[in-house]
Amino acid sequence: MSRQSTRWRATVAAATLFAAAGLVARNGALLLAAVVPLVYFAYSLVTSGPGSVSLSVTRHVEPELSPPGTPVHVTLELTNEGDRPVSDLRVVDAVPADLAVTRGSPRTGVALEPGATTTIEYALVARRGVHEFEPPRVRVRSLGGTSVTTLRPTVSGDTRLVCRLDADAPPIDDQGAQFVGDLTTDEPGEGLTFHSTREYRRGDDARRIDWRTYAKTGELTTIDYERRRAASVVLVVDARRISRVSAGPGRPTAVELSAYAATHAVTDFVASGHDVGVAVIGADGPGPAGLHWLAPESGDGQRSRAIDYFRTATAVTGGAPDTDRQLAELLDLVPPGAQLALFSPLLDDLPVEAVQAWRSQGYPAVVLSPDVVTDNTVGGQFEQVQRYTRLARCQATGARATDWRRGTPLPMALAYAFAADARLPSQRPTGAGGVP
Amino acid sequence: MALFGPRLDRPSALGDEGRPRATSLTIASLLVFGLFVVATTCPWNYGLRFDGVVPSLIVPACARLGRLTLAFGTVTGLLTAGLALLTRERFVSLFVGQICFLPAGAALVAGLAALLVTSPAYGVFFGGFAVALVALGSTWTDTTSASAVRPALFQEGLTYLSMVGWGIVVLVVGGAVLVVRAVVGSAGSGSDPTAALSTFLVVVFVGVLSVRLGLRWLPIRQLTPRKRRGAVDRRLGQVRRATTVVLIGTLVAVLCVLPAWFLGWFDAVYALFPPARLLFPVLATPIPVVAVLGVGVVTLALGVVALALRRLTRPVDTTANRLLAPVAAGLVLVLGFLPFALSLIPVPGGAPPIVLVAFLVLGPIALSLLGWTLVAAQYLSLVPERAGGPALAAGGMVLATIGAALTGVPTPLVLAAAVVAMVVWDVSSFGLGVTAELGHLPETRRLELFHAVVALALGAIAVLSLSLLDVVRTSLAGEVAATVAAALAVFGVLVLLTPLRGYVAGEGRD
Repeated sequence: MSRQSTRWRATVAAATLFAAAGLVARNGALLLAAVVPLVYFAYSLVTSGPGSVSLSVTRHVEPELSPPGTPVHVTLELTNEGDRPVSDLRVVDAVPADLAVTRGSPRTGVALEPGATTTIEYALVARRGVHEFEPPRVRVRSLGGTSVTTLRPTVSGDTRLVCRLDADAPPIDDQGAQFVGDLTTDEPGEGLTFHSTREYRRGDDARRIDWRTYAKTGELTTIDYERRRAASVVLVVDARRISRVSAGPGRPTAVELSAYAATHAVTDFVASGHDVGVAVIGADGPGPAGLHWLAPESGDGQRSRAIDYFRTATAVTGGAPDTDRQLAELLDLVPPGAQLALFSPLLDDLPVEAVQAWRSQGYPAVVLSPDVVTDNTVGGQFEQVQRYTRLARCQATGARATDWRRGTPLPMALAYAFAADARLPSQRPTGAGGVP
Repeated sequence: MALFGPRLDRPSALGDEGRPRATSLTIASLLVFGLFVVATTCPWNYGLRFDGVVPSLIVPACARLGRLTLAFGTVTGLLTAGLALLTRERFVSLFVGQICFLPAGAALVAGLAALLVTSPAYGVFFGGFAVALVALGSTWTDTTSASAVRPALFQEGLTYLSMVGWGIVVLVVGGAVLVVRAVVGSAGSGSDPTAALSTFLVVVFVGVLSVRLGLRWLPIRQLTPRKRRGAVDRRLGQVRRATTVVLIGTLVAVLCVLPAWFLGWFDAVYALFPPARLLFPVLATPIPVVAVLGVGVVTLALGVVALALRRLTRPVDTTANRLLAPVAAGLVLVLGFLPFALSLIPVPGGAPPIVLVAFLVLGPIALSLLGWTLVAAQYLSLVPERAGGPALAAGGMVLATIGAALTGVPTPLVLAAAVVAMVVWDVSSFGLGVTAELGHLPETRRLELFHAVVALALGAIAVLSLSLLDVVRTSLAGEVAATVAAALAVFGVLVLLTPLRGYVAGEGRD
């Protein structure tokens, strides 16, 4: 598609003005000056023909599969494959509408010699879903800038970005026991941390025999360790309308980030042999009181079902169920001794009240709050102060409240949220992140 | 980060619809400024031609032509800076903007108007360069649109009214001082001691009343540290009581002295206490009068200023700044800048000072009219709103070209001016298109430089070819015949371009 620019039409007026002034003043210099605008006008007309442009375009998306909130680097290379230089090449890469550019620019303007290559580099923030890249919009102008031709060249290389909640979660078999898998009790048994010694009984594992004592006394004794026990954890994702907000255009919403964190957590808990349950509040589901509810179980199937529920939570757009009723129902559904982990941006008081209710019922609770509040406005700073206050109120109930700031890697935030108490040997549960 | 003072560019100027790319605008600015410097410092131009009214206006003030360039650039720069600052919202920016905008703009418009009247060719020449320089400066600061010019003109009007108001206040205060001086002088120099005593009592009454009112309006308590406010309150209470006593005392004294004076009772007083005849005239001498009245007037003036500031700054939005800045700038201009400017401007050719005063009075009005004309032209789409800066800059250079030709500048320089006009429009509109299409983030310097180099090369070829043609024209034919031939050549080129345009356009479209 070609079109003509009209920006040189004023030169005719300038030439006419010079000529008229020259005639009136009988000034030869002005009459000669009238030729100058006409020269530019003629130049723009002569060079306005559309040239044959041959471009090869390659796009690289790295990584092509990524979780929400992580930066994705896009590189677009354009090479002039023709035998004539392109004097004015302007390129705008078609960034998917749902994504925002956080660094660099998807646009460029260059003059390309034959065989020369120009590269556009920019970064995006991934959001859940499959995002297709359209071909970039390329505009080629003639030497005088009068003729404009718009092209949509074919792109080789990557043409889409896939963003999944479990994109960077490794297979369960590869997982070590990182978080709650280290939970210990004061009961003697299998484990890692020394608990006590006792008289040897038939059938005890030979590796637990205290051979040093046997060498000294000639009696067989068995070492007991602090017994490791599987936990029952219920992951609660806040998918209410108030939480479906993001820190800026094209950035993942708080629900997406919560679901991403919950996906990581469920993967690790299942790998550690814990029973994991899931509850999604704020979205109409098939469970009691409209909850999306999975009773605590272990196994890979449970993980798949949980991730399906998280995907559902991120895809919810409407609906305003009675969340008070959902939270009340949740208390009835959670088995005794289970640990509750809430993923919420804490943009209102309801999650705090929920945590207070859980703690009053004796449930250990963990709160992981993705930060989606911008603090570059007075309103945003006020909202951030309120959020910090809510985090402190959660902490005051005895729950472990963790602020997942933007830029903080999720594994680190999860480690803070779930693993700190567990890594203290011989510690009884104190309410947050401890042993149930 | 600004080196000093308020920044001239603002974040909104960096948007996709802001000014052209910096590289393009730099090239355009360098071309215009370079041509202006060359044209105004060439000895073949002005050294021989300042022989009329113009030299009497300019040459004494700018003995060297370089100073003319500097002065012209300074005035246009101040005008541009003022225009940019007047689009802000903070008080300091608006105040500095007024200090820059109004005097520079009024001086530029008034000077160009005078030049147009006295020597139209030079008026067109300098007027064209003024338009081009101001337009380019405003394009840099992204203040060429009507939405940016309109508030600046409103504020300029307010500042002008404020200047008139402050001028009246200064005149009234000056008159009052003269009256007081005359009264005090006559009372002090006279031989009647009773009249001197009466004058002193009136002066004390007025002075103390002024102190009382000034202290009432001054925010002394508010400016005192909290822990010392109790002591300050007690002290102010004492002062209030003392001034009340003094006011009542002087009022009673005046009421007693005047009848006693008319009844002749003071003769008895002088008989009883002869030194009083010598002491009373001392009270009406300038030193005690100025001391008492000065303290009162200064306190009252400060109090009035504090009261006015409180009243003006009561609105919490930007309205307060937009009201207060013109008032403050008007006072500063009346008290400081106008006498300073008047002392600097030489009186040309024995012209009476009333002409300069008329310039100072009419200059701001002419500036305002010119500005509103620009706004109206944008509303009527006579000047493109988005490309207003480049269009005005190119238009200014077209005028400068005509002016240069009329003043007798050598033909190559006239042709160079015409080329600069075209290149300014070309690179500026090109840079604006790049900004609109690609934004300010991507690196496009190479693209812009390539475009500018091609345009300049074309211009250089045109200047060389046409200069050679001019040499042939002037050497082979007479002036009149050559002019007619050149006119016919231009007409012929215009006629030839019409079918060529249609052919190329037809080829170019899909």
